[in-house]
Amino acid sequence: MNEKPLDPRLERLVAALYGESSEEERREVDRLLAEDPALRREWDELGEARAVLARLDADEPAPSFVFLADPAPARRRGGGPWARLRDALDRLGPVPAWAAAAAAIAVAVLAMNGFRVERIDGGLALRMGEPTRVLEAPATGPGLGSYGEVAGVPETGPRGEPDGAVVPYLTRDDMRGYSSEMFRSVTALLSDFGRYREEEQAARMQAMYQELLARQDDAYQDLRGRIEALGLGLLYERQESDRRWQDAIGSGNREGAAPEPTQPADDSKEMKQ
Amino acid sequence: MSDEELVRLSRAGDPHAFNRLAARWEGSLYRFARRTLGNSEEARDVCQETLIRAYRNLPRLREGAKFKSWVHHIALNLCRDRFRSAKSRGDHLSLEDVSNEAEGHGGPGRPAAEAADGDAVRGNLSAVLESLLDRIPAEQRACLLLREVHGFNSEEIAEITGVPAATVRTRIFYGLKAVRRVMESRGLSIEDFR
Repeated sequence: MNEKPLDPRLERLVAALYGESSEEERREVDRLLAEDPALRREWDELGEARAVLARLDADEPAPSFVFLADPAPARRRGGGPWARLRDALDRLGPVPAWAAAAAAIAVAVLAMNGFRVERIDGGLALRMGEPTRVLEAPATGPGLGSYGEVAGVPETGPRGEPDGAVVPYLTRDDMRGYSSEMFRSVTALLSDFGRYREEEQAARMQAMYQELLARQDDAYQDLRGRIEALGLGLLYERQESDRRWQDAIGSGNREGAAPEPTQPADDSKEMKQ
Repeated sequence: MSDEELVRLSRAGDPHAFNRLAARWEGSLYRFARRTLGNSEEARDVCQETLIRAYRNLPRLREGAKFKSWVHHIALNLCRDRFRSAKSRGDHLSLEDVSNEAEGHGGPGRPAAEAADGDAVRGNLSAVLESLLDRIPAEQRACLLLREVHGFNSEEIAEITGVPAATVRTRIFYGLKAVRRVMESRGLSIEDFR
C-alpha cells in the first residue's frame, strides 16, 4: 500500500502514545507538544481514537478449536470428579449472581425428579428418572459386522455396562479420542499427500528427461543417416563424373587420330633422284 | 507454564503441551481474524488452519517465547490470502477511498440522511465499532487490532506483518486518523462511545 512517509515528529508522537519512547524521547515530545498547538491537537485526536477502539470487546467469545486428544484421561490426573467439576466451572469464568441462583433452582428441580450423575467408562452420564434396562444388542452372527471393527468410526450403538445393562451413548473420552484420531489421520494424509506429490513430480521429471534423451538420440540418428546418404550421393556423383570424363577422353582420342596408311611411304626412291 | 516451555514440550512429542498452547491463543487468533476479515465463518477457517500450520511447522520456530507473535503472523498471512482470493467482504477500501470519503462527506454540515444513519447505529456500540473498522484499509486495521486489542508492541507487530517498526507506527497513525475521519463523516463523537 502507498502510505505517505510520516513526519518524524509524528512518528515520535505515536511511539510516545504507546509508551515506546525512551525518557529523553518522551521529554522531547512533551516539549514539542507544549510549543506546537497543531501537534497538540494531533495528540488529542489520536488519544480520542484510541479511546474509541478501547471499547472493542477484547473478551469476545470465541469457539474452541482444541482438537488434540488429552493423552492423560481425567481419572489418571487425580483429584476425583469433584475436582474436575471445579476445574470445569473455573474455566467458565465469573458467573453473575442471577445466573447462579437460576442454576441452583434448576439443580433443585432436577434433584427432585431423580436426576443423577453416573460415572461410565471414564466419563460422566447425566440420567433422569428411574434406571431402566435396555435390551442387550443381538450377538453378531455370521455375516454381521461390528462397528468396533471399523477403524475410526464412532460407535454409537449399544455398549455393555459392567452390570450387563446396555445403554446407547457416546462419552466425552470417545469424542476426544475420535477427534484426536481424525486430526492424526488428517495430518498423516497431508504428509502422505506432500510426499506423494514430491515423488510424482520426481517421476515426471525423470520421465521427461528420458524422453528428451530419446528425442535427442533419434535426432542424432536421423542426422547421421542424412549425412551418410549425402556422402554416398556425392561418391556416386564423383564416380559418374569420372566415368563420363573417361568416356569423353576416349571418344576424343578416337576422332582425332591420323587415318590408317594404305602403303608404306617410299622414301628411298625420292632420295636417290 | 510459559509459551517457551510448552513449545519445548510439544517439540519433545507431548500433544497435551500443544493443546494448551492452542487453548491459550485460539481466542485471540479468532478475534483477530474475525475483525480483520469481518466474517465469522472465514475467521473460524483461518483460526483452524493457523493452528494446523503451527503444529506442523513448530520445529521451525526458533524462539519458543515468540509463539504468540508467530501464530498471529501465520493468521495474518492467511487473512491476506483470503483478501487476495477475494473471498472476504467486497467493500474493502483503499487509503485513497477513505480520504475521499472523509473529504467529500465528512465534517459538520453533512447531509441529514447520513445523520439519521449515525443515529440508527449509535445504539449498538459493537456494531458501530465494527462498521468503523470496516472502513479502514486492511493493513492499517490489522496493525491497529494487533496494537489496541491484542497488546503487541511495534516491534512485535513488525515481526508479524513483515514491515519495519517505523512502517507499523505509520500505519497505526493513519489508522487512528482514519477512525476519526470515519467517525466525523458519520456524525459520531467520542461522547457516543463513553
